[in-house]
Amino acid sequence: MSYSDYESVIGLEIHAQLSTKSKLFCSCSTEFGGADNENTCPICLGMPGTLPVVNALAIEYAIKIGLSLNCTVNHNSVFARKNYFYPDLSKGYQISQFEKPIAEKGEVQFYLNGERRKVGITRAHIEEDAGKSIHQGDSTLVNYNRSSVPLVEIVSDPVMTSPQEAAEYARTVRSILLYLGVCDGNLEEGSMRCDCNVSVRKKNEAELGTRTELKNINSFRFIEKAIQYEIERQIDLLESGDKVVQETRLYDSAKNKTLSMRSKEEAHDYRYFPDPDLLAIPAPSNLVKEIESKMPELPVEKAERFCKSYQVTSDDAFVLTQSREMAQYFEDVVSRCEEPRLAVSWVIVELLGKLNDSKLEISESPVGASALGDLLSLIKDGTISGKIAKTVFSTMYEKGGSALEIVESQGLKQISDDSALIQIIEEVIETNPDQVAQYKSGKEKVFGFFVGQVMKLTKGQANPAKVNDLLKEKLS
Amino acid sequence: MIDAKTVEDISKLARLTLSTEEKKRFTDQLSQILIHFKELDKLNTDSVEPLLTPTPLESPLRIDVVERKTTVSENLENAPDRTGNAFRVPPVV
Amino acid sequence: MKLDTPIHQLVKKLKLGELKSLDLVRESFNQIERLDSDIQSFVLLNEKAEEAADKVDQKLAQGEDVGILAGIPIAVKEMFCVKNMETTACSKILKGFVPPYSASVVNKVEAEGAIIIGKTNCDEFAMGSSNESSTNGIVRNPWDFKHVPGGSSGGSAACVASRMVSASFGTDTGGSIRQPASFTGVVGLKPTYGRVSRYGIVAFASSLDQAGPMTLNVRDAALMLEAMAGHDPLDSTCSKQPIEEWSNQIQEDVHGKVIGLPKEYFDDGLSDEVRGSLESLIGSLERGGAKFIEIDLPHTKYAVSSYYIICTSEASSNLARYDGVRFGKRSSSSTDLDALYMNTRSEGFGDEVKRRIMLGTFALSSGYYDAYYLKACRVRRLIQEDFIGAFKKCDAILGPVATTPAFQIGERIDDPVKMYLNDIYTLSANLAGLPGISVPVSVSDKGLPIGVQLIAPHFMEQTLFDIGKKIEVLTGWNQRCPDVV
Repeated sequence: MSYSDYESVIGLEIHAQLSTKSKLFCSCSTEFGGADNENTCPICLGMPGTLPVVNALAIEYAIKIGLSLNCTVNHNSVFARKNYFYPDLSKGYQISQFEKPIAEKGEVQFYLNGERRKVGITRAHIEEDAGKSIHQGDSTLVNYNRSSVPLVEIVSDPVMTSPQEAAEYARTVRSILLYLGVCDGNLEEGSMRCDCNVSVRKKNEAELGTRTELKNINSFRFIEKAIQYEIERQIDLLESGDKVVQETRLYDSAKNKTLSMRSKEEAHDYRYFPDPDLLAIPAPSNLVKEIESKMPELPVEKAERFCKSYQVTSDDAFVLTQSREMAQYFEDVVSRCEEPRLAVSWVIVELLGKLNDSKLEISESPVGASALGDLLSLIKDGTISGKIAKTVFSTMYEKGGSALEIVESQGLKQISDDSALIQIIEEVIETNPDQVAQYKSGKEKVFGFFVGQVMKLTKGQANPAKVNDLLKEKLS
Repeated sequence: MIDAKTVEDISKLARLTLSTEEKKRFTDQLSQILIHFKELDKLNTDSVEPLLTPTPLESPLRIDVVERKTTVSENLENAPDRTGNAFRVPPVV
Repeated sequence: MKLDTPIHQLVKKLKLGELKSLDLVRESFNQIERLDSDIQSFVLLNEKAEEAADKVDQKLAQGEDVGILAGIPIAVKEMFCVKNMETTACSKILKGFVPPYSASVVNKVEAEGAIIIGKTNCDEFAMGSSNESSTNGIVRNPWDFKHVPGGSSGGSAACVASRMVSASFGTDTGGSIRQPASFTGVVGLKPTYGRVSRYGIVAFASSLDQAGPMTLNVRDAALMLEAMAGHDPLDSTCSKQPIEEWSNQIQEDVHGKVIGLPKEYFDDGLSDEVRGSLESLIGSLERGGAKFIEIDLPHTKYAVSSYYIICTSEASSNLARYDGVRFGKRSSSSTDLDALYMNTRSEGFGDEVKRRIMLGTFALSSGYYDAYYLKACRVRRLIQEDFIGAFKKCDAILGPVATTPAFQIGERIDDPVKMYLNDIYTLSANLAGLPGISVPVSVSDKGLPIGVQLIAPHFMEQTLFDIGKKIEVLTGWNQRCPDVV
């Protein structure tokens, strides 16, 4: 038996918490981390007679998400009640969407190992989150701060075929959400949650296998690992003659296993019906067009544009478009110095290196885009060498100041004047007769020694290209 | 029209425990009611849109502003059991 | 007796200083003490009523504009949340629940100066047509204690009829204001769906419930509606239609008014006494200048089924929140969560409520949703279309409220189907969202009141008040009173 006799079918359900200030159906704050039940009110606690009123911004965000996923946005989509009993569900039903969601039939594109992939989006709908129940000793404690926080649930078509693809899809969706500014995509804190539906079947089998749903996965790495484990677990079961049970399984990251949830798996009859306390959600085409006109360029399009316009490799483009802020920074640097290739390496290697070390976000960078652009202009016009530029950059990063100020105050200008360089070169040649002899007898490696000496005498400010040419001339 | 097993399933869905007597009584009564409902089958409604909200109403949307309506203590006042400011229930099995 | 005086006259006297609110409130409590141990219309009295009345008196004395209901004692059905007063919907499951908020409509009338005297008895969760299913005991009809006052707003009707208050709030989902109004000889209005906010009213069936006033005369009902109606940002199903000055605009003259008589309402089910009352009224109205035409509401016979499927479906979901977790009565000694739910709900709900929850759960469940819930909603549209068609030919519809006057206590309680069929004339208006009013017209041979019902197009409550007022004048009802009062 080989695992490669089988193929896997994977679909992801991503729940994105919208970053509105107030909840979906009441004016309580959505701020994370409050004290128990600090952000609750009779409405999100489901007290008798209370009624929901929709948050307009949440609808706008949901429409944006639908558009960014290339979905059709439905006018007059319907809120439906999903009825079940659980302590964190304050009304005994969740207000969600069922038959007519706000967005459906879309598509997302991304790159996997250099190949372009397309994953269909079945639907995106808006719903309220539930509260949190925590088990403590012989009771369960319930906190409803999260109850009624707005969520958009994005359901992919079940068309992914590998754990890597699923993780990349999830990363792409997250990136889109961050670009739109509608969700902070924090998997650890739970503002974005990924549930994975996994099934396997023998290759060339038309029928889908029984699927399981994996929950409690809070990083992209764990998405890959959890799905991988589950695929193998299912194949092992089938190979030993057992059946896969349709159930929800929790991922245990410490043990790298998926575990069946201990509670009895009952088939849920949610008895969905349109919520009579709410009206249909208006999303007329003029509103949708207006929202569309204000949408930002999304990551994949931006990355492609970078590749075309700036000759950036796709790997580099991916890094640069990781966030809107990063992409904007890069483009600002390019427009300042007009040297895209310099900009790419400096932003990705030098700047990001320092930011990662000091644990800062791009928006907190002590060196602004125009300042960096100016520095790169000095390299471009030969005022300083690339090596010197690095020291200047360090000073700019730690102490501030403009590149030009630092270069002038520290006398770091590159020496490119031929006569000045020739003088120094002749001095070096004179004072190192042994090495000259070695070089002339054929030891070409000694050339580096002369370069080094020239650099030492010029405190690194000699124009390296010129030094090379002139040394060659003088040593011949 | 409706058998005892269905009544039992429904009562579970609705989180109601019924005594044997109640099960029998409700099965009878619900059956009678459902017989009455059967008359709706006589109507052909294939091309009729369901009516959900009976009056034409404008859709109200709320502006995204935080407003505190009640205090935590007011919200927990009616809690049958609590630990601090959390509601307390027996464990989920 | 002061509480016998129409509200608009009382308000005038209060504003002129000829009368004090405190006196009205005291009269109210005296009347309650005298009669309510028999009638049982109240479940809770407001200890702060006299204090509130005093405040109003002081403001009035200083010439402040207190509102259109300044100083008037009113009662509120136990389905309405009143802040810091126990609100139970007459159910065990909400025993001890004290909401930190009031229903919007309660806030509105208090802002107009009204004094809340107390909470009135009703069928548990407003589910019933006789007020025999309350955990607070049976309410008796003030006209004859052996008879029901009607339901579910039995207490609200009885306390107005017995002059314990000037007016009361009821809720009407399938006739729960209009039918008890008819049985107790008071005026009961169910406004257009969306006219009055539902926020803070314990929900029974969300697309059918409406709060409305119960008063001794039509003009008072109009005045009460002015205080109760209006847009509420807390209720997504509350209309932005402006409040009109209904009470000041009442046009008694029915010349030129075309009134429709649905032939389906005048069938064999209607008792002779009610039929006789209606026919006599029709004659009087004709002589008054109204024109009558026969209209057809062909889907009437499907209304009971459509109604009971929809209201129980919505109720089964609305009542899921009663689980003993956050408020209300929790069953003691449940070792696990499932047991907590089962025990709390089974102990907390009465038979009628359980029956309706089960019916609704069934109608929404997988495999039955299309045949029951969705079907009922389609039929609902057909019923509404019947009315829309009828209103192209007439200004208002006249018909009975119930097949008979008030029936005896215990007479129908064991037969749910028979009980449901009681509502045949009233529930169509709820399905279609139309406003309806019950106006008392006569007293039967056995001494029980008989009312008639008017239905108007959406938001045309003025038509109900106009024709209702004419009926009042023609019948000479003039706030007739039960003997015990």
